[in-house]
Amino acid sequence: MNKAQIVSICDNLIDQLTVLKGFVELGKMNNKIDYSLVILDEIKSMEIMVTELVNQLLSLDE
Amino acid sequence: MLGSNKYILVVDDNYGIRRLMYQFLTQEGYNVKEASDGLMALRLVIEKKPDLVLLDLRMPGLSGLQTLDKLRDLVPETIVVIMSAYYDALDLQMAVKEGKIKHFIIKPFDLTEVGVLLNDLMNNVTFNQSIIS
Repeated sequence: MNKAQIVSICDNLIDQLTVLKGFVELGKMNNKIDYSLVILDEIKSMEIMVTELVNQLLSLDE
Repeated sequence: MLGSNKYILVVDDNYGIRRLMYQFLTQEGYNVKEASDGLMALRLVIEKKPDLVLLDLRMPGLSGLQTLDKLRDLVPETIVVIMSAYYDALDLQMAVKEGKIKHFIIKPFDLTEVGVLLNDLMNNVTFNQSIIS
């Protein structure tokens, strides 16, 4: 995995953090609207990405 | 309503960011359209000139800075706010020094702060237009 690939994954993770943070803020502002589906989608994407990143890093040691 | 029907175009390849900004900005009273890449953004800008463009820096195809150059030709008076991650800060500062960028927000941003920034920028636009007319 090269620097560009790591930056690309980090970029996606930061986007997903932005979405999660933003929807939590929106939920706090509104109290009513349920953004849980969007939040769960982003968490799933982050899980996949972090797993992939860890696998890639582990493969570097082999 | 803060936005008073001003038109904002959100350009980001991430669906979640577009949904987030759409929800937030419509709630703030803005008219919002979304583009998932630079080319789509340029097509929408030709259809109707936005008051402000929120533009992601890192996108597949046309990058944020390439899209910005084309926006400057098409709609020079439209305010452009670049959205980017902190590790792009050096590039952004360089672009600010060169006069390419005036405003940028760093992800993951605080929506309340973004709302204040956009409101301030929109008010300045109205003020400037009043002076010109």
